[in-house]
Amino acid sequence: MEGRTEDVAHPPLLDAEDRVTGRTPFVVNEEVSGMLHGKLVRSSAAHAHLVGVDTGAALAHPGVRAVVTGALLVARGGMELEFGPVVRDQPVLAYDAVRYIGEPIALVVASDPFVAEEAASLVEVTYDHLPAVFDVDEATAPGAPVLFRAEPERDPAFVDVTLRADYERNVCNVFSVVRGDASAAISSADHVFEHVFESPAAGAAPLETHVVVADARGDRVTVWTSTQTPHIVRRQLALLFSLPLNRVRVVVSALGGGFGAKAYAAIEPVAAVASRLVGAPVRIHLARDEEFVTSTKHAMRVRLRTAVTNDGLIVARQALARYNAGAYAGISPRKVMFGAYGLNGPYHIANVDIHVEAVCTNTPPAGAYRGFAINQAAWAYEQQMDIIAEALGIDAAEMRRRNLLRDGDTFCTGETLEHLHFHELLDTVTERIGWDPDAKPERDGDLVRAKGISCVIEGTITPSTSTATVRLNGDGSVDVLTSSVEMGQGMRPALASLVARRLGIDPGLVGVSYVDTDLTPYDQQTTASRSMASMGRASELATDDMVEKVRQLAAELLEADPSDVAVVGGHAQVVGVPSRRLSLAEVVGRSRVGNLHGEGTFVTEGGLDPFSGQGVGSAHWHQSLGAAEIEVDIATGKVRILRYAGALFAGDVVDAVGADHQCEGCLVFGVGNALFEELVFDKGQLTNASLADYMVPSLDDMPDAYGFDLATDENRDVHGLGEPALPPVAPAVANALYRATGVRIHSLPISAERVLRGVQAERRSGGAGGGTGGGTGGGGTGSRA
Amino acid sequence: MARLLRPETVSQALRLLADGEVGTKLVAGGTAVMLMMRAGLLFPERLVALEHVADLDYVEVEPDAVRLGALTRLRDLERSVPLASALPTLARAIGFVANHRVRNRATIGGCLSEADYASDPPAVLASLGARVRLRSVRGEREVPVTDFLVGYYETVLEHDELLTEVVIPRPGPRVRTTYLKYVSRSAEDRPCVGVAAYVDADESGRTEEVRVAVGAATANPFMLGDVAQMLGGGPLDAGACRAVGEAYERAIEPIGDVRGSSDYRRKVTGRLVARALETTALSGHGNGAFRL
Ligand SMILES: Cc1cc2nc3c(=O)[nH]c(=O)nc-3n(C[C@H](O)[C@H](O)[C@H](O)COP(=O)(O)OP(=O)(O)OC[C@H]3O[C@@H](n4cnc5c(N)ncnc54)[C@H](O)[C@@H]3O)c2cc1C
Repeated sequence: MEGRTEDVAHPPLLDAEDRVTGRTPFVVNEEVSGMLHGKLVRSSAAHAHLVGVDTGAALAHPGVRAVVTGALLVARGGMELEFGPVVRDQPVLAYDAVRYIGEPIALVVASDPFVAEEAASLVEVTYDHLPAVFDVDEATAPGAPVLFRAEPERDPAFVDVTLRADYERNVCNVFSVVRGDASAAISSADHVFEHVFESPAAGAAPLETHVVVADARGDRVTVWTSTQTPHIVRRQLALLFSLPLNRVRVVVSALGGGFGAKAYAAIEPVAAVASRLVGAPVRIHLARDEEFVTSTKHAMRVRLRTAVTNDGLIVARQALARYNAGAYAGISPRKVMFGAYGLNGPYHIANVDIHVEAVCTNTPPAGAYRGFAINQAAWAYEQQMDIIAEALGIDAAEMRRRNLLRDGDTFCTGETLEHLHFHELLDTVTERIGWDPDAKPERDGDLVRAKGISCVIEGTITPSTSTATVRLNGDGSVDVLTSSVEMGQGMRPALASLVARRLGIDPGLVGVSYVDTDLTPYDQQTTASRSMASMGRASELATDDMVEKVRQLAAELLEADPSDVAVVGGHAQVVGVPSRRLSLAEVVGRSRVGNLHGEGTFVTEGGLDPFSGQGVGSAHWHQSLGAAEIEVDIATGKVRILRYAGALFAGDVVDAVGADHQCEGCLVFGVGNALFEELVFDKGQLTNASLADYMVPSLDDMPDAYGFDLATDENRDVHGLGEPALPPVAPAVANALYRATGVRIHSLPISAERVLRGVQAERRSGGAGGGTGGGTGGGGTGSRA
Repeated sequence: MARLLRPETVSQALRLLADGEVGTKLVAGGTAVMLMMRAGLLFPERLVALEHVADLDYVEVEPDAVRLGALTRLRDLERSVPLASALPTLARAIGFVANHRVRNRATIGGCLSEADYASDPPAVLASLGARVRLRSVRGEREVPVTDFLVGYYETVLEHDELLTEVVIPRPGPRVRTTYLKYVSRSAEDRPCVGVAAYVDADESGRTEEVRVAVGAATANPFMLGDVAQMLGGGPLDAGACRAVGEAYERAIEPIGDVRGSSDYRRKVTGRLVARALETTALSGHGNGAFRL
């Protein structure tokens, strides 16, 4: 047994064979006997009062069992009408107003999904249109249309989020980080730089769209659903039906991708409510166009002002950022916190004054999205770093070297940071990409090559709680019971190898459950790159708890003192007497306990004051750098990424292959975000809601060469790698583009058309260097003599 | 719901079309038809599926022409050794269509009959002077590809006609051809602009015939008729290539869509026409296709 563990170069992926042979139990394959199919009727108005919803023709359609409307829910009573993770502002079905194009108004329930779809087109909705607003700056301006007349109720479970809402300005939360005296530092600084940067809404585009089967017959509610947050969905459904938690069961098998879009309840409430009304299980599976309007990346605009000394030391930063929350708050009230400290970047800045608002507009709700608020922030501050460096005549890498946080520095949150590796990571990426401060762009006809770098800091959700149960079976195999969700990130094989390592057994002997809240213990959520850090730690603690029980039982069987018994290599043995030992299976068998359970709970503490941003922002800090070499075709403006080098601090690495895959996945995501992903709206109407019109990257869009260096420290906790490699990608590409062409792109994506426009403007202006804006924004510098 | 019919011979298919009238839709690979049905743009009453029609799947290389059966899959064309040696640019351009999942289903007849402006093969076929054969119970006719395509998603096909064959004259040994597929977004995207160039020049570089077809920018492949005349038979040097590019840039009136605005496409067209001609005539890379 011990020998075999040594032989395994990397653990065989639990699930690997099932994935290759198509047997992975995805939620989309879930079937419940007698289930009906629901199709949502969605709003075609961006903002309106609902005057009438005529369901007559749909009801008369053969095969239709029911048409559930908001008005029906109001009339029936007995259930809450709204849901939402922080504030309960989102109607299960609109009954009074609609606030975005695509908002669910009715659910047609039929025995066949195609019948439901046909009938859904027969529902007639009458609107009384209201003025609508789509842009965050317009929505916060005086006289803008107001989305909510009254402040929505909040869910007291999200105690860590303090609300500073101002619904008259459509602001559902604000977060500020204030430290030192930024205005004073700016007014006396050598140079001040101010720019506006923008990111558009984007789609997470999981291969499996949202899907749920709900059975709310009788006195329970069960949902089989594609969620990253089973326990939060359980809580949200319990509130909706006024049930104790143990009457709500959330079952989650494998997800076909999530990337944040499947965090928090989305279609579970309407499916459950319909099931209760119809008296049968109801399935809803979103079509691709619906997926795009269910949860988006936040569009964001930030005005960023940074003051520096002649030597390039940052002395102050002011920022006002607005994240577009869409029509409903969702998790935006928490996101502003990530955005606020995120905008500080990985630099030591003594004077900081950052305000981040989440603004409601008549666009589809924005939600969690890989890189949670940090992509948009890094897109801005890492380009500005290059602008400043150039203006001061300092090399871009050197500029960062002078400002990057070091051990013992105080972050903008007031925390003293330790275990920082930014300088070492910077050395790694500059060496990998072949950074040369004096390099000129390489030109071959219309093709120009250059390099760019970027540096990012990112927190994880704090405070947070995970619990796990580890079970030793009679044959020595081990089960981990967990509510962390497998969504393709390889959480199950990684947890298996972690527990196997702790016990010294073959990872093949460790199984990991899927989620069933009736059986699997509490976990806060599968987001924020937290599962290996948080659930991993809980599983280790549970393993230790189980080992303790093994030692007690083994001591009796071996007639030794428990303190003399150790569990090593899958055996309980008397220390120093290798012959006196029992396998784990023998311990369970001979002691006749049937099986042995260990429990583990891992809780992190922290939180920030929402007015000052002071406190503990994150249990640990993700440190991530990227360097890109690009080639731009100046005839078309098309950018190709030739090489990419990433470097991250990863703490303890549990599964080296899985770790590399997560970074690679981030790069794929980053390439799409950088070069072409964008949800395009026309007066609130999404115009590219298909995978033919909305581009995700293909393998041919990946750089020819790429790699990630992970700085590790076995004595540190696992850092989680689901997201950190992503945010540096787009700004590194943009910085490389500038070095190649002198074109500065302020608005994502770095589309070929924007680049060509920039190249031509640059040519007209004589290519004097200095940024020409493609897209909106731009900015300027002010220097003091 | 639509009725599905599966003829096994061309004449069965023609008969089904003849008594079909409106509401009958042919399905070859189905890659376009299925998307249109899913998007709710098409509600056929009868689907005539051609996958069991046996005798329209072939590549025949003859001394003067290459004949492609309308139901030949793009994947088979891309891998056909005879096609690659007779018409390398076409074979390679077909290999740039979408991705191999689509090419495994899509047929050359479906590709042309769909008449989607954002396509690659039509421009290449237009530059090669290809013709298509159309059959119905009433008879048969042959029309140049450039006359076959008449508008956005519009061809001269009558409701009872089937495209059975694509006939491509074999270029003489002096002829060099190039196709540039420019994608503005993902590598698997449809073209933003495609440029197919055909250059027949003698040893001294004097041009006999020069054809340039720009695809994906206008409803149908865009060609200026008098390129060789414009060059006055002179050599196709860098300046001449640029001049032709500029002429195309001035003349074309491109569509704007998610892949690029009209103005953008116009500029890109000018540069890529010049580049395609340079590649064909000057670089020694003649007879190839490139994805930009
Ligand atoms: C994801 C995706 C990406 C794509 N990317 C590209 C690209 O990069 N470049 C490119 O050029 N194209 C691209 N396409 C288009 C693709 O090439 C066409 O969908 C395909 O060639 C159509 O062939 P088919 O056999 O599937 O046609 P079908 O879908 O079966 O039919 C298309 C149309 O032609 C008619 N039809 C079919 N066969 C005949 C016939 N023999 N006679 C008369 N009428 C007929 C049908 O009735 C229908 O109207 C892409 C398509 C997809 C789905």
